[in-house]
Amino acid sequence: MNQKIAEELKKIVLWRLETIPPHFKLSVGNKGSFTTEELKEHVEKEDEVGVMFATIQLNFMKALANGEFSKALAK
Amino acid sequence: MKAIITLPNYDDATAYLYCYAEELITFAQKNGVSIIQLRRPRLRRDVLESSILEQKPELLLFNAHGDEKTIYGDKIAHHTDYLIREDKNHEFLEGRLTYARACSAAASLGKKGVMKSGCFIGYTQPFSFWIDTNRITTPLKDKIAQLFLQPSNDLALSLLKGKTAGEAANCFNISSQKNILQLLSKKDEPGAMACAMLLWNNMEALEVLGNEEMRAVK
Repeated sequence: MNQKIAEELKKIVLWRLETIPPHFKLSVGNKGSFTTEELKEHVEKEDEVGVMFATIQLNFMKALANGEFSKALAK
Repeated sequence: MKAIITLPNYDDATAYLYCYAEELITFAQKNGVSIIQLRRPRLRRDVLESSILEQKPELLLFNAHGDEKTIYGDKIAHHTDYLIREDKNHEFLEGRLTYARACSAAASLGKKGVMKSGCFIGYTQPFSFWIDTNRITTPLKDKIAQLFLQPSNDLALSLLKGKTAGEAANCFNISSQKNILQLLSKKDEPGAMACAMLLWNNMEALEVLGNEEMRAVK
């Protein structure tokens, strides 16, 4: 089976979700609203919502690493 | 200036957008903007199309769910009908200034809608935000959601003030950056980095398509 979320990324995303307070809920358009516990399940299942959330996390980490994020904030 | 605003309200996301849209309507009414409000039961494609044809608004403000090819309207009996869809009625966007506070519509629909003339401001990815489950029944008291929704309101307010599309998008970015910097100053606070991440995602997803110098005439 093709893995949709790389194992290392999945670990990071699940760990990051542990740091988010339980009263936070992610609203993501017509996909719905998800508690952190629900997000963990979606990431584990690697379904559409899980992949989308992992992609947001990955893009943010890339922007932090390549300086794009701090460059944008310095404008 | 004439404007149309769509106001769905049937789930968490649309309930938040509905409440935040009130600030835009109040501003418009106080500043001489004729604003047509499409909410249930008038939030339908036929009403939107006839309003555009008859009233000829310069500005279209969509609060909605969306995808790459569609901006949706109301949800009735488990069915969400479309308001604007690529290759169905996207020509209603032509020549107008549009802001779609909706997921992904700038990825394809927006491009096609303003191919000949006009300007479309929207998101190429899902427009996402965190909400505080303790405030879900009082969206305007939700300080977490405010981090994401106020920048989008600032964008729409800029358009209502007659700013250009480019200036309004810049306003969104400045407002989002301000919130990110505020979050970074307390980055050890639980949830701060998760909020910064989504603000960044929304900033990256925002696109101005077509004529960036376009403004809704006062």
